[in-house]
Amino acid sequence: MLRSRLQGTSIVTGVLVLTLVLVLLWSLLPVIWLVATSLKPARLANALPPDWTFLPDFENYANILQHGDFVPYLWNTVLVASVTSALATVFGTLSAYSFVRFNFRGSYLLPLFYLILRMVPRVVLVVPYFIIMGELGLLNTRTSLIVSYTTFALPFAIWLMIGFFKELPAEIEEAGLVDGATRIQVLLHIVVPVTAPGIATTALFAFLLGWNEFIFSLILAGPDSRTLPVLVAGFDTDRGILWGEMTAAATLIVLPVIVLAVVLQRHIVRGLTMGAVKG
Amino acid sequence: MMGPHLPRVMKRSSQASNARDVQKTTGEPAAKRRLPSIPFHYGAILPALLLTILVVVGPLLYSLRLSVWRYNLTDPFNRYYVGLSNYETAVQQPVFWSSLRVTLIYTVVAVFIQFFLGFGFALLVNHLTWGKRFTRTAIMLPAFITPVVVALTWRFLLHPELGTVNYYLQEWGFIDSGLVWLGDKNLALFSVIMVDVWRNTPFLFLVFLAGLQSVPHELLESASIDGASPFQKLMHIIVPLLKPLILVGLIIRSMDAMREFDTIFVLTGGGPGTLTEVISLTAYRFAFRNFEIGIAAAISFIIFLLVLFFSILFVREMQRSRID
Repeated sequence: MLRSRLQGTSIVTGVLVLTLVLVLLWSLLPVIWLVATSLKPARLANALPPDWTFLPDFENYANILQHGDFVPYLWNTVLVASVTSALATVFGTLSAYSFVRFNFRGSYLLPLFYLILRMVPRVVLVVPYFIIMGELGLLNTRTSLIVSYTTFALPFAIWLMIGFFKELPAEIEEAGLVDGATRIQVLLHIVVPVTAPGIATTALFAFLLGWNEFIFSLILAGPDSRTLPVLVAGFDTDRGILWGEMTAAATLIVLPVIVLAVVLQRHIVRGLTMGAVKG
Repeated sequence: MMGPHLPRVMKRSSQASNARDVQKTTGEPAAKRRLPSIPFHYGAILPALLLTILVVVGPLLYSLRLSVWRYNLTDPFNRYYVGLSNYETAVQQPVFWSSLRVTLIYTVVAVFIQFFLGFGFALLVNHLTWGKRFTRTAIMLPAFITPVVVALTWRFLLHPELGTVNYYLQEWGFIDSGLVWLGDKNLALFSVIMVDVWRNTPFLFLVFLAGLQSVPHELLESASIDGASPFQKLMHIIVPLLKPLILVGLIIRSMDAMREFDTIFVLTGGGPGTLTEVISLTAYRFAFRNFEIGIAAAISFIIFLLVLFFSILFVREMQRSRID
């Protein structure tokens, strides 16, 4: 199972296997614990010693889905993350394509500009956003969330797509141009179908960023527009943390994330480094 | 139907002029040609650029403006211009400096640990001949979990009485009574760092794994033939080859660590006291606990300048060691 070219001894292999198991446990146990706790009745959530074998009980899920704000907040999160992702992907793809295929004054500087913007700490923007949205009467709207999420989703999408476009050979487009197509036609009918996986990856990553976003939602959203991360943090009440409901909500929030992570596996490195490193 | 075969164009400028020439000479109806035509790329970059100016540059400038007013949300109409005195006030707060110190310690220690763990994990996974994809996915998982959920999960696991960590540590005899991981002044920052390590090591792990997989086998094999030990191969071949990658990874991770908010907010809220209050939390507290918008804007603008400084360094480093 492991290349023990090192010394060919089974001791070394054994140590490596043990290390591997420890590493897997380290990475997975907290998540497993989270899901397991959510499947126990709320009063047993805190029970010690932790019970690793039990029959799944969906009482917590029933609670939050029926009584809480979970479903409306879920809808808010889906909506905001989707629109943000769509905006970021479309505008980002257009920009990235231009930066990679054309050579003009901005094609070198603008990507760097976007890169620097990606580094802006959220808190720097949250304060003016709070004031501005307040004066525009846009607090407690999903629009304010979408606008604020674009601040990080758009630079991210641009850099991701730059990475994808750089890998696209220009010949097919040139063939199309020579055949008489306009640049727009080339883009729509040749480039987009070919880079569809890249565009999908970008869209999913941008969606993920919006899905996980916390501080903008905490400050700018209200009962009508709040998103799931804020909900789950809100289970920390004055009565103490409602562990049963919290773990159920947390598991539901994390589920799509895990699915997307498995799906986007191959492109993860590129996504995390925004295309600075080839995946 | 294929036109003349064009040689693979290396310079983008000739490619662009080819494209424009082609557009000019091929069949566009005469009516269209009379309209002023914006070159495609100007039109294409415009939406993103306008949007960015509107949603990022604008608010940043507004923040700058806010930072020169005395503006308290509890008394919003009584705001007045104070020049740079908010900056003076900010810099005179002891919490400002302690928060910078906490942020620095947090960033340096966390990234340091993540570097070694990430590299170790990458070496491990790179050596697998079986189950590589499963292991990689499993190790990578924490990085995707919503930061707020990560924080809440670890808050429970680290709970002094009810937490699983304390339970097992006591069961196995490592400690006598439950440690207050997040509340003890000697443990809190360390605990917060370890949660960051848990969540963000996968990032460096993946970057290093990608790098390790790109090291040419022949290099390592000829070194083995020459009698090099694994350690020597690591230090003299792998590390030097991966240096640009390591640098890029470390810089990105450090910049993200400096800006951390979500996880620490939920884990400790900056406490006990201000022992885990990183700079983002300080700005948040001034704005939304003390309602001092002007001072909060000043603090966050200082953060912005710091981060800007480092991101320019990063961009220069990235340009210099072009990863393509």
